[in-house]
Amino acid sequence: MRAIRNDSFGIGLRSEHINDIRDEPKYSELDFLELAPDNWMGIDGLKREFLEDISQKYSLVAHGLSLSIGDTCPINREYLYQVKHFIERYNIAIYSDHLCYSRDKQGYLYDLLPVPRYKENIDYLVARIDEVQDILQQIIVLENITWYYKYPNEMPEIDFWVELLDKSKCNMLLDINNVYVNSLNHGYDAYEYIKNIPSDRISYYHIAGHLKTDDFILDTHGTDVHANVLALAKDVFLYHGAKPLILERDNNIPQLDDLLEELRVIKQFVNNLKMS
Amino acid sequence: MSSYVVPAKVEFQIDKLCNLIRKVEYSGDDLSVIIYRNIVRVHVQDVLKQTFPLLSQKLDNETQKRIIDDFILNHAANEAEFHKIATELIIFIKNNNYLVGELLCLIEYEWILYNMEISEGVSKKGYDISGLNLNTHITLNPTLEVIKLPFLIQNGTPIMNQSGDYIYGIFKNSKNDILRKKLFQFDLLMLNYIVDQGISLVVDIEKLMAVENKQYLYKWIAENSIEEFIFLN
Repeated sequence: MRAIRNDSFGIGLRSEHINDIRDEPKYSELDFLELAPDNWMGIDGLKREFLEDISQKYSLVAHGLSLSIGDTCPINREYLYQVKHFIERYNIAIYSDHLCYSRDKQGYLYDLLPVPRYKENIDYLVARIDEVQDILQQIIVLENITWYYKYPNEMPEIDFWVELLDKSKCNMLLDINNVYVNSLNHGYDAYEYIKNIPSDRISYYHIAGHLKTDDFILDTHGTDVHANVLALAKDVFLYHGAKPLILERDNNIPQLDDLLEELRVIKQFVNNLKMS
Repeated sequence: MSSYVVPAKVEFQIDKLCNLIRKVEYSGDDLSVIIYRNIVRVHVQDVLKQTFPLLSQKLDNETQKRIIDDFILNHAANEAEFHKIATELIIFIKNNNYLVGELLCLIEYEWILYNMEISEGVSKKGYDISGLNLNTHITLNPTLEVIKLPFLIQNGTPIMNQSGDYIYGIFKNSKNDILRKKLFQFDLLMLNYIVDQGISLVVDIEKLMAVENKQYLYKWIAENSIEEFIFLN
């Protein structure tokens, strides 16, 4: 299994970039790629051939969309076994998904919805995380999502996370942009949030762009990383140290060269931090 | 299996939010609910546009909105993966008779194209006919799907004003290209022998053929082998 190191930088694999990534020699600034297993499992043909080629060049991280760890239905074991097969097939060391749900009793809604942050939800989530980890036989990593909806009388997000991490064996994928977006949307101190997370439970970081509207800041992944998010990233790196970082871009996808240039800038920014 | 119990408060709140997202009309003023409702609908709309581009061009906005709203309200989507929204959508559309006639055929045609794109291809190459003899077996490309359409497809575009029965074979070649071949009488005759009657030996096919067809048989085998519509063993 090829290791992804704490000073590794990567991007999310997008179909728009597949040809370049497959055909060109390995990009020196790109250490690894993150992909959604959901978009590749059960896919054959040309797309599968591309993935085979790409996996020979780059280490992969699997970032799922449909685990739905927080829903109220039994864990979808069939899906999970497919994930297990996928991560074994491509020698993937890190499997992450989101602290969210994407299904109700009727079926899948295909969106990442926030779990109600109630004390009594923590043990329930811990039990489900255990079940998933038993099946996969590995630690799972959950991302802090952007949330807009507030359930009544919830715990503060960071308190919920800290207790969840304390009681479970999962790790956290710290999305720096999401912390920034949530802190502005819901009026909390992003730095306080950051410093309450146990460093040793963070597997890797996400960074991305967002969109400011009149009512909310939306986690669109459709722009370059905002300067304020980079500033928060500085705090994150200084406080928690270097971890693998993925630059996400899911909308308004730029040319690969442009995205890699942005990755280069972020990498330089982080490396300068370490030198100072 | 799991033995834990969903906390009632959690269950209630999740059901409540999902209900607000699923229902067709929302008269409340919670912007966050509106955001989620929009995101869920845009995902489905994107799939409709990307997976069924020909169909979505034929549907007016009102019909598209009605299909998407009804899908979210009523459909029990079992497939977890986001790329399976297309599968769920076509099941819903077909089961609920949203489309009839030409539009139903169009979505079935696009569904074949989509499925073929993400399905396993063929590893054989079909152009070697040097060993062709009477004892050669002809097999169809295993990816082949045959569809009868009430309209012509020209350069990938449906020509709805040229009604009639048009039969197409859609298949994937060893380069993973998806090919569409309009099937004519001789093609259908060969499909009849190979598929319906289970006859694959060239000599047996030749015996059954009318004299005027026999002279065309080898040309057909050569052309279709190159195209990888058939393979020779």
